Amino acid sequence: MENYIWNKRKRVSTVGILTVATWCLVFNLADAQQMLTREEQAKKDSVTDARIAMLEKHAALHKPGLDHFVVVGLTTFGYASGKTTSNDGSAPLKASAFGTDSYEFSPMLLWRQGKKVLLEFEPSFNNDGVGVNWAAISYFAKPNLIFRGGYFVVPFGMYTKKLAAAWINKVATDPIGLPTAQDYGFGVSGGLPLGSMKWNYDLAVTNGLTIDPTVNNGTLTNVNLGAAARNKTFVGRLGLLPFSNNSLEIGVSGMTGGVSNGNMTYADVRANLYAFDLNYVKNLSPVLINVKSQYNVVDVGTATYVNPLDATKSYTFNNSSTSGYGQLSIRPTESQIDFIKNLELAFRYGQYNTPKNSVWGANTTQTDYGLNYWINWRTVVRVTYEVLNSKSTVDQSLFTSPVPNTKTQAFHIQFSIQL
Amino acid sequence: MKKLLINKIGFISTIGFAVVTAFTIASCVASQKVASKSGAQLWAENCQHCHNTPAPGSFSGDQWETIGMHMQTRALITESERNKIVEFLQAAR
Ligand code: HEC
Repeated sequence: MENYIWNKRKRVSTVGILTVATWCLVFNLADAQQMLTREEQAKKDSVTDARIAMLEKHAALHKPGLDHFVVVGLTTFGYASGKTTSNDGSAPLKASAFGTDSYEFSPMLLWRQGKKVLLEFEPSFNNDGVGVNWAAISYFAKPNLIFRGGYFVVPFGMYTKKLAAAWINKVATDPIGLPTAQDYGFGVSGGLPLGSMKWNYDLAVTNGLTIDPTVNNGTLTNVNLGAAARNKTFVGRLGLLPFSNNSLEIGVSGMTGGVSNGNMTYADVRANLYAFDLNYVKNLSPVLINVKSQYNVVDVGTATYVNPLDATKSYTFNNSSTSGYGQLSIRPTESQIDFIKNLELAFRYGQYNTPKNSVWGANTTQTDYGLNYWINWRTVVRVTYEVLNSKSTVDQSLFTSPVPNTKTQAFHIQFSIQL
Repeated sequence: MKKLLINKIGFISTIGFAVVTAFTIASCVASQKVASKSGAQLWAENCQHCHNTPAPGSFSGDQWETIGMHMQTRALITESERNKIVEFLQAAR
């Protein structure tokens, strides 16, 4: 009996020990398991933390809403067919081609960083090959003060900087005799209120112009990045919008600089240029009236040039050119018929007088009649008929055979779109 | 002597120019009528000056922000005009 009791006790305690041991094991295992998951979790957490930190850093760099890139630009293509006749009895010259005045592919890349910095880069492929129209950075320093540096269209006149894009222009060609285009430089600009009027300024210092060293006949070309471009050129335009409805803007421009570019033959020769421009756009029910005009004067100091027929002789002339154009276009914006509403009639007359007695002297007139069909505000199909009449004013003694007067008539069909 | 005179003329005209400029800038405030123009009115008046009036739906809101800056450099509109026009274009699209 005693043995039995002992045995029972032994059994009970064995079971007890086993139970406790099992519990311990289970608990321990669970604990170990838990420790393991915690470790794993911590590891996972640190990976997530690192990823979040990285994303935050990325987001901070990216600043959504403050850092933007836009691709805009334009393309133009068309066909031109023309005939040039001369008064020297030679056979008329006929030419028809895609392109000429009507081929351009220019994507424009705009970046902005916040509301202070804007970069614009516009490479352009046209019949001159691949070039660049704009590669400039603008810094919006104050509400009415923008600094600009790089390669940009110089602020002279209105057409080249503001109206030259084919989807903006009203006829298929540029006006004749525009004296300047792009240059490397630095500038300031801005627009300010003036009571019920407004005015704006656009000033720059650029590398400027030089007497074209490839022909040495008094024509000007850009110095570009030429090493000897020590004579910086100052150029600027002041604009005034005298009416509170912004319908009219008039502008006056000036440009002055030495043109020697290190060539001692032209050491003291300067070029002084002036321009006046006018832009009037007004709804005169039932039509929209659009008047554009610009007049340019280019005065280059007197210099002597080598006679092309006899290098031992020289010649000189008064190196002064004038050019100008006036343009009127009318659009029946209030017509009930969509097709009519999208039509626009345009007329432009231009003149370009280059120096008399130079080897490039001529009085040229340019007359354009145009009809535009606007597919939408930035897409146009147009036809333009243009007549160029050129009367030579060269010093005929500088040529072996007389330089004739010419007349060119051309018909253009063009498509242009802003993208 | 001649040189001195030219210098004097140059000096006086520079000062004169500076004074005129300073006065002009100081008086550069918009009249009440101009200052109270809405974005829509400014868009209609200013944005047809060079090209046709651009349709608000042509670009996204963010793109208008960038293009507004771009056009400020071309049209030389005032900054307050730009802000109002961009706000209008963003709201109307
Ligand atoms: C002074 C002339 C002028 C005025 C005024 C003007 N624009 Fe422009 N605009 C241009 C020119 C020039 C371009 C073509 C840019 C280029 O290729 O150099 C252009 C291009 C554009 C484009 C195409 C995208 C781009 O940025 O190139 C849009 C959109 C546009 N303008 C909207 C406007 C709006 C909105 C206004 C009114 C605030 C306005 N423009 C006023 C001259 C003007």
